[in-house]
Amino acid sequence: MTEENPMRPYLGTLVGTKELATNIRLFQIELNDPVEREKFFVWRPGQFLFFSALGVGEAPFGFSNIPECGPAIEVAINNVGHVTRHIHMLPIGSTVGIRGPMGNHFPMDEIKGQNIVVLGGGIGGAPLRPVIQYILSHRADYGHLTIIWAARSPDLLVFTDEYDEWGSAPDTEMHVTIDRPAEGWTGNVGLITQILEQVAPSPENTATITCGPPIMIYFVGKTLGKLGFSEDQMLITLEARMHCGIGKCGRCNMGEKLVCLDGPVFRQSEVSTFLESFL
Amino acid sequence: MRFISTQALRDWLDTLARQVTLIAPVETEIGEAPGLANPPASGMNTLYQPVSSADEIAWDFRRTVMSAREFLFPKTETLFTIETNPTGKKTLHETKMEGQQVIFGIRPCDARGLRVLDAIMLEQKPADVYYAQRRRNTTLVGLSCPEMWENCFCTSVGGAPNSSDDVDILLTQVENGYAVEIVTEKGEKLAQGIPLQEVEGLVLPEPRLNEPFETPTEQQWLNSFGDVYWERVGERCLSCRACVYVCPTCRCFDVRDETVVDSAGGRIMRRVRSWDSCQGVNYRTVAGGANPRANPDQRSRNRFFCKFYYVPTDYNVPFGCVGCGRCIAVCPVNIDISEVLRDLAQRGEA
Repeated sequence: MTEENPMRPYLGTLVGTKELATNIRLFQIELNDPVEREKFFVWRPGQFLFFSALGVGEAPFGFSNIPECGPAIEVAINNVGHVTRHIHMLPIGSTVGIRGPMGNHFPMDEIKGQNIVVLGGGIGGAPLRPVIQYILSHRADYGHLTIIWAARSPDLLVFTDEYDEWGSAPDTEMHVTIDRPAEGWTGNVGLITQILEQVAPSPENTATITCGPPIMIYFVGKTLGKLGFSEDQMLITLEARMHCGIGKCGRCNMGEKLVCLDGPVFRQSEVSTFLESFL
Repeated sequence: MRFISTQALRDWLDTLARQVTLIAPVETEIGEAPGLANPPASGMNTLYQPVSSADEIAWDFRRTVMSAREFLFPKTETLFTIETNPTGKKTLHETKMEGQQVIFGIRPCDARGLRVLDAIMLEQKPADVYYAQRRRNTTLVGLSCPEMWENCFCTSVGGAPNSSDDVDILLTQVENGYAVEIVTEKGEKLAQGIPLQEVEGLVLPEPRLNEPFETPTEQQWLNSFGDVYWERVGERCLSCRACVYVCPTCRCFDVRDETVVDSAGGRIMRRVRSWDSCQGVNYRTVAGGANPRANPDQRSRNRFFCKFYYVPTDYNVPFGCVGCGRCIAVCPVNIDISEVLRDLAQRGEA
């Protein structure tokens, strides 16, 4: 086939894994072909890929790192369905399939010079790690960075061993919270919206970036509104079931919008005009 | 006007069938279903199928049960295979479609359906290479409909029973043969093999038309989104998905992997895609169990909105429906797309 076939995966090798939280593991993949690797290693924070457990199936996942923080592609995957269960069983050294990068990305250039509030809930923190990595590696380009990280319980917090590094980065504050009290937990307790209200970031010259369960995205939007943020300032990333990632399979439509091509990153102001709700 | 006699056309098709894959309408017996308590009524179905001679063609066919879309976008196709040899080395092979095919007797509405698929699969980048290969290798020889049949409403959605807009060659039956209109370069190329005569004063028959109706305006669609009307449609829908299966423009698909072990002990993995339908209950269900379109009214609404609002909004086509009427004929609970269009066009201000 002479034309590039976006349905054909690049073959890669699972080179490492790391336990992130209960049922959530980080998978590190290197692509086998150097030419394909070069073509692939241009993704931007917010984009996604398709990960194949070959012979079982494939599913879409947000990137969990930026190319500069390679050499591997990193993806945090929750063991929750048919494909992810098999991905979790793959031994190191397995051949896997990778398609992408796909979708749009967070407008990192457009929000240069602004303060950034990153709000991640549970596994929703995974696609936000590239945003944090990007800002910390281009620190002078952005203003104050506020990270608000939440999970239902301490064992569901992802990337815990990086919190110290993030929190101690220049002009950066980090808040971690869990929904309900838990034994041995001495940090914040409360929903992400409660912590957000306490932290009360100023809406002036600020962009917010949120990922989490749809209901969390909805209520974070409401709370940001109370704090004076306009919906144009709120960036969110959505997910949907997909089978192609290139606007063909029809699976991810929300009204006339396709999450794979029009998203997965949207402004809250756009989402508010969608015919179909993301909830 | 160019003309070909019936016999010359049949002779040409006989020759063509030896050179390319020739697809044409064929009468197929409805299979016996032993063991079924209530076997389907015996009878004949007309379907597009590969033929090896003109004798096999159902010359007096009306609307086929299925459209011809499966020859551009098969019900099931292998996207690629990955072979693992006994030493563990993996090799990926992409599926290619190299042979030429001619679809003879495609109706103008079905050809228009391919125009919708073109907009989605080819014009919206990146293109689907599997569809693109087949489309490139396919020539459409259309056959005008002598009349609009029950449930046909092509003229209400911009088509016509004798439209040559989306075919490469259009044949229209006249006395003793067919009038031939060569529409595209591809058609020109294929027609080089046809013994055509120039006939002066050839009068083409006017097809009998069904009464056209107004379809809802964009604003009427938008106004209807939250309407209780969809609950009434959804209430009847059985989520059987037959409407989507027979539709010439539906393009939703599912992708699955399967693995087989070959005789030498190597493993072959196949990635397969198959038609799917937004009318299925779990079409959008994600791994965690959440289903954003859990209610039948949401799913029914999606089918109509896809055809008449989403596709026209997202792609360069006026409608995502060509008015072939198949979904009306096949629906077990009489959900009638033309009735929905009439209803919505009468609700609220335009």
